[in-house]
Amino acid sequence: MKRYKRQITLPEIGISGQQKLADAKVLLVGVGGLGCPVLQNLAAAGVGNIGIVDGDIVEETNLHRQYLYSLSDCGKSKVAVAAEVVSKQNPDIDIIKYPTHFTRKNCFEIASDYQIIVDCTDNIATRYLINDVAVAKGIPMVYASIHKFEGQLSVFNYKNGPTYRCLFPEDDRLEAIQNCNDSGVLGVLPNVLGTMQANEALKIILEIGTILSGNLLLYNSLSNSFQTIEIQKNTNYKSQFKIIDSSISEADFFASNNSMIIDIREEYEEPKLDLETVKNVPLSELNNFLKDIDKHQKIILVCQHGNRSELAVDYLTKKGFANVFHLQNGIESLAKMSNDNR
Amino acid sequence: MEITVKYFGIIADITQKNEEVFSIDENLNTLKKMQLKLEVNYPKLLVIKYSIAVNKKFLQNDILLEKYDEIALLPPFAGG
Repeated sequence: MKRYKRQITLPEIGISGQQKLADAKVLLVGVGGLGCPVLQNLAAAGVGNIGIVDGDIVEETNLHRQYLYSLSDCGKSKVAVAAEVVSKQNPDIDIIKYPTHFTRKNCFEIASDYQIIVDCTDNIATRYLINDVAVAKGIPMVYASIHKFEGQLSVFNYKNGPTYRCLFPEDDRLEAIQNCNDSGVLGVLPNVLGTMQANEALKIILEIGTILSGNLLLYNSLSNSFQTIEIQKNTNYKSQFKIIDSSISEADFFASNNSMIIDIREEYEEPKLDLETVKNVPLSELNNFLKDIDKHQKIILVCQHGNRSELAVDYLTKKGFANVFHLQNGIESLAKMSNDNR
Repeated sequence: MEITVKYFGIIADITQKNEEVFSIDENLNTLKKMQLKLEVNYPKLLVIKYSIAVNKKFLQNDILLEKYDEIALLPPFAGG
């Protein structure tokens, strides 16, 4: 307990608060720019059980913002390295490793044991999934995301408060699904936002202070401006909750006959999918293209990482297409597979 | 009357500014009409998903705007 002396001294925490931290079970989805500082802060504070989910490996371009990793870790699983580094800093806690992407297939199994989910992902499809899992389980989701020099922070579904879908309802326009955006980032920003996420998670566990529920905090690191905007609860979205897994694996993708395969990426995206049967129809043209297609036709949508295609499948399902699937990890995973086989 | 519009994330990239003040006719004074005006000025908004706040409150319905109201256009951010 010596390690925690300086925080136990705070009357808001004390021995009983430290015990709450030791008993707590928190799931981090993603140990990248946001996830690294969240993990470091929760572990150092003595959160007793931390699950970390990430299917990625460490890459050199991560190092300027993901301080858990070193140059010699490149090529290793993020989850494995993060668990090792953090366990050295604090051997008293349990880190539970999930070296996989958080998907519609595994989400409930992974999340089953946790009381808080911290959203440290880098794509909108997974944010919707985390939200839906949090709503189904009745647990809070600590959310942050960044764009260039701006960050957003909120706590969703806290004591039945507003959810991510109340703030950003799923769009009924196919073309509004955002392209994968690799805009740059200065390392400080995700570390600021991730540290604030950890702060919200600790407050939830300790039951102290005011939780950022029903409010979206906006931070601009260039102008030093902080502002909050109030979010209203929209009960319609909660009742629509349903998770349907429509993903197919790489193996099933190659085995599928009689399917119409549609690459929904923009023209400039690489690598090209080198199959004769593939039709190239960017999202903005998909509606028009599908006008004359039989709604029972088996369709497989593919995109770069499997995020846009997942959202597009949801859209087409709502439009009445009965037999539509998507390639789960996108064309990049196919490209990786064929490189590995060479 | 004067209305301030604030832009965030990818929308600030489209408008090339963080903030803009509009002088609008008294008879063009609903949020929906203001949104249409913005979409005419910045057609790319038509293919962007975003939520709208007025005076630091997200709204789902149309409302009447008043002098000095502050509108914010906020898209979801993907990065992490």
